[in-house]
Amino acid sequence: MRLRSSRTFWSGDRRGRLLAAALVTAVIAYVGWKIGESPSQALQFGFNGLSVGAIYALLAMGFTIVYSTVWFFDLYYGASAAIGAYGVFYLRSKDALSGLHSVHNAYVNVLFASVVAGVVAWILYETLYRRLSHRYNREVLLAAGGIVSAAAGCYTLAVLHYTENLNVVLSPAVGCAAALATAWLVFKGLERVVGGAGRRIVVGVAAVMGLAVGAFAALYVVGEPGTRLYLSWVLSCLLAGVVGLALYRGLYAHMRERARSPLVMLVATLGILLAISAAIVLVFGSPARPLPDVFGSQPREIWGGTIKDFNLFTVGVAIVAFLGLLFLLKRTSLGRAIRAIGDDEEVSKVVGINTTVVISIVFFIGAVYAALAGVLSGHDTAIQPRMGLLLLLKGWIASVVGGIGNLYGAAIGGLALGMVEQFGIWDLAGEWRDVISFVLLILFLSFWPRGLLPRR
Amino acid sequence: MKAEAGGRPRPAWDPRRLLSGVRGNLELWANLIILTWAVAFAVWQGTGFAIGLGTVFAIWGILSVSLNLVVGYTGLLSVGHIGFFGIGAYAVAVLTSTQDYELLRTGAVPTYEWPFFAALVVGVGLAGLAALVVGVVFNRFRDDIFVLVSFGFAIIAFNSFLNLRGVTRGAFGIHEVARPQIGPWVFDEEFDFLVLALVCLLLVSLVSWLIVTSSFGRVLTTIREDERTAEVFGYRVTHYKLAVWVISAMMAALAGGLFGSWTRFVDPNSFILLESILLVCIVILGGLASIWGSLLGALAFVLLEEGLRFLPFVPDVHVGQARQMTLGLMLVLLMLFRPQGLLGRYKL
Amino acid sequence: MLRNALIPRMLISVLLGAVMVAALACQEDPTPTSPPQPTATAAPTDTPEPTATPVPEPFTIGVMESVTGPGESYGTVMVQAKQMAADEINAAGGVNGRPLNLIIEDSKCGAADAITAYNKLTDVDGVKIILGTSCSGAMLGAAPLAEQDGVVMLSASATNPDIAEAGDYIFRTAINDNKLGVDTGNTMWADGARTIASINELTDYAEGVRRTTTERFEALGGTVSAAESYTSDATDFRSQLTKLTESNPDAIHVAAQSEFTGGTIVKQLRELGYDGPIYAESVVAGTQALEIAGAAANGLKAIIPSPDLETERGKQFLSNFRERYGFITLPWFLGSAYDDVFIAAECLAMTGDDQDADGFRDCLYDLTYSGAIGDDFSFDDKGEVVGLANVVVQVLPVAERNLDNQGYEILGAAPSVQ
Repeated sequence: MRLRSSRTFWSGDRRGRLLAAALVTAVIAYVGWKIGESPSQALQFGFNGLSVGAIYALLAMGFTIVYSTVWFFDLYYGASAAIGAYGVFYLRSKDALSGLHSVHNAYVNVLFASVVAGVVAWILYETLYRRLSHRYNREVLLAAGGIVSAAAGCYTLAVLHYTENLNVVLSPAVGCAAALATAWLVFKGLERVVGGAGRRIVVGVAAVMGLAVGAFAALYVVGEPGTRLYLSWVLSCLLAGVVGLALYRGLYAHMRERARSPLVMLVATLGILLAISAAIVLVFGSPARPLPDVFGSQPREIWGGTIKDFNLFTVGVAIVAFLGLLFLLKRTSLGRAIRAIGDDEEVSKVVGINTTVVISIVFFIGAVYAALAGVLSGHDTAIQPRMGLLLLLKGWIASVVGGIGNLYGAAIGGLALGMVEQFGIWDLAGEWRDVISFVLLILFLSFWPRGLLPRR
Repeated sequence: MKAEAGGRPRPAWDPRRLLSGVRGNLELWANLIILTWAVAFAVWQGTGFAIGLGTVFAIWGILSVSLNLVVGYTGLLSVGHIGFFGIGAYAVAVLTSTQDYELLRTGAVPTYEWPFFAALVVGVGLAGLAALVVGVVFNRFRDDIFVLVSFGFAIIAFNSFLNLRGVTRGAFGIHEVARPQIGPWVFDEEFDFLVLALVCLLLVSLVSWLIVTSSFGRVLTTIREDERTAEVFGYRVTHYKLAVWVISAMMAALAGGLFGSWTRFVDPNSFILLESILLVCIVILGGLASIWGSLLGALAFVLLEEGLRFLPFVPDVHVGQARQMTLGLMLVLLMLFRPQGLLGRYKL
Repeated sequence: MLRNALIPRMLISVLLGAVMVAALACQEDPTPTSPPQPTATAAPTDTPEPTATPVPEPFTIGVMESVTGPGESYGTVMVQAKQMAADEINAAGGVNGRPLNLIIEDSKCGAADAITAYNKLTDVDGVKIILGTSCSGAMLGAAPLAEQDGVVMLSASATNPDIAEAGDYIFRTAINDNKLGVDTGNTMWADGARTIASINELTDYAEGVRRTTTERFEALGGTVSAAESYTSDATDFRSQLTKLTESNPDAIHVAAQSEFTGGTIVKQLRELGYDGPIYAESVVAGTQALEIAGAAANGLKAIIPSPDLETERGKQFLSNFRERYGFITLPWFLGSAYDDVFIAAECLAMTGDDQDADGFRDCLYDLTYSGAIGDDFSFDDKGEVVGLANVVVQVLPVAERNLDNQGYEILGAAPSVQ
């Protein structure tokens, strides 16, 4: 919708295009000049830009996929980044709740546990109850569902209570997840080879292999206290993702039916962002806090520049995330459905795509990407309640510059933004960093409103 | 579900019926509750407190009325309004400050020691100029891209206040900003200042009302509803939008000048992005394209902070956060049930 | 029908409003502390008959510290130190038999919030003597008002040189940055540094430290190869630090207001491969900063004011504080805050009236005091403390840091050059 209206500026405006090209050339020429001036500083700035740009790219990718599916900007995205980072902080820090001296951890834990129980109950109701209620006794089903969700809540409580030994508490969950994933993969793989005839054997093999892998994973996790950190990443990313999903199902879906313009959605999500970031200050206090070091903070020297191992890891994560999303969008039926919904939601509904489920998945993925970016940026520098808004703006800029709706554009935009921020303060004072990115955004959009690689 | 299907009249205490009753008369209820609340506060807290609150309300009121001109009458959701507010405040602070600390003496900032009103005029003019430039650049953006770009303006403005240290003294802020003075009469007492601020608020509301009800305002409404049509009728849409944008920015600068003079100290932390977002919340909360709604929104916003202070489970230092949370949730609820805001005339 | 429905609704709403007013009015009585009642606090001081009442009227003084904001880590513990001092005084029978009552407000380390807190203390609580505040910026915000209103402010840790000029009623038991700058410049020069790069937080305190330090260093003949500054909410300093290290300085000087940024800068400096010496001031030597920096802080030199740990009073205070709160951080800040309360008690005992700011001020000018932070210090005619000195400390390796040595060893007094 938006893009179509902005095309009026675009079409035939060759001068704007030329000016934009000139702008890009000027930026590149400036960088080239600076590289010639002091290669070592340029290299170091390049490394800094790479580590920051990877996080921006991660943000932009998630942002762009959500936007190009539902065509509004979901500002919960920023809160998701903050939730991810603070989730890790809560799970890995003993004095996380210094903002609330009077409140015991237990209250927060109970709150989270009841939320999880509620979500589980709701998911069970939505997915299983409706299908099973025709065949089985409703009271029994309800009781079973209640027990399962209560168990999930209790388990969450246990996990949150024993964050010191996350690896032990979470090992059953990890085992189960590994078992299910392996069984499913094996089943899918073998089914193609064996076909319909040997179905039972396939199921059996898959189950055995799943059990084996699950048990191994559970045992491994128990024995490795070092996995606590990674488990906390997974937990908080999942949490942020589930909140994003719940927001869509519980709120946005209803709102979209009535919304007259994407601004309504934007304002509503802005409200959510405000509320969540305020809640974070209420619970965790306002000052910035560090997250524990990962891979040590010893710098690694490459061609005379230094970069932390963790930053290399961040770049790796961004690349994997990019490839994963690309695969999902281009090679799977889910990806095709996502693209179809982005093109025309009504038609996709008509041709039988379950749009609600697909869009929920998109929101989940988007929120997880944001949370991951928040966690990575938190480990890289520090966490603070305003980080959500700042990261959101950076991701937003990167995705718009890259061409909203285009995955390649998002990756390039994120990386470019990171670099521009670094090289921009070569001659200017470092305080102007945020201004540089926004001035460039405004200039760029004035001449090139659809971004570098617009969605076709 | 069954009662609804049967069509039986629900009893009076039925929550759904109560809800629908409230929803039908939401405007009345909003007016009543907020005004009662304000009166109750004034009575309970005593005059000293009420005067301070009143001044804060007047400043936020000017801001929200002026922003409503832009949001409600052009449909452009600007999150950068705080920038113009800051320009006004800084113009007054820089031009009237009499501070002679060492950092100032060593040449970081010259002192001018102008009278307040002269500085205020300069500030309003400067904001108008800035708005003109920004407006020309921003004119090509709309809807959500405009929101993003206006975020950018807020951040650029904040960073300029922070980093143009030769003019603004950066993070250290400017002390000893002058109070307004007309001839021998100095607005030094809090009550005098409140009167001045309320007069300004009245003036701004009046000007806004005149703009809105004039033919100019009707053209604006047309543009908001259907830009193409307005163009077809031969109106220069861009000029109209730009004009209202500049006027609104000048009003915000007026509020800024009052604010700087009232606190007697100006630093960039009063002009952060978050304040701007909260301002947008007030405007949407109060109602788009409704001057009275904006005033009511500002009143509710000011009262909310003081009201939350007395909740037992909110520590004093976190009152601002509690208010932000309340506003955020209210925003969501409004967008769900009433996208035009409490007293709004125009749906976002 | 609609009109019929409107009347009861109006009635209900009017009733509701009345009930609200009534409820709020009722609340006034049981909570005398929350609503401001200037008359109530002013009245009892007019009737000085402490012997007639069974519980004597307390001396009320204000405390302003940065309980939140960039100065949170030391503002909070300074409030605790002041509270402990007041408790000790009251346990020992109070001042002239009257208890000492502290009213604590948060100045958030910024001028605007300090002004708000100041107005609350003076207008609402009617306080004439304020102990605080912890940050130079906050102090510079409130000091002009205090000078104008004739309210005494005694700060334990605001060090900016401009505070000396702030007026007659402004005192501090903190050492002026001019002295710190000279000491830091001298130390770096004596250690052989000839070019330095500096980074400072954009606050009055950190800017003052940087300015006085570089002025001294340049006066000695050194050069500043690069200077950067950052705002209090920054978390990523790498690009700015790259600019510093690329200018090839002999040493880097860090002036921070918050322990978080100080520690993070030291950490990120080492991550960028910088292995030269780092010089800093007291905030970066704080426990939280050293914890964040970890091994990166090894060998860091800080020029800080230090309590005389040899004196009985200093030792006694620190062990008492540790016993009560379970930790010690920034011992000098704690001691200074602690001493301020005792100084206030001594002067209140002399004037006998907590509304007598002028008498209190004159008492401070004449006072010579020995406390936790040193022996026989006094105030000069600008309200500056005389008789305290800075020392140079060096941060120990992580394994050797503990509560007793606070993570550093004291190398001795700052060297004097030329």
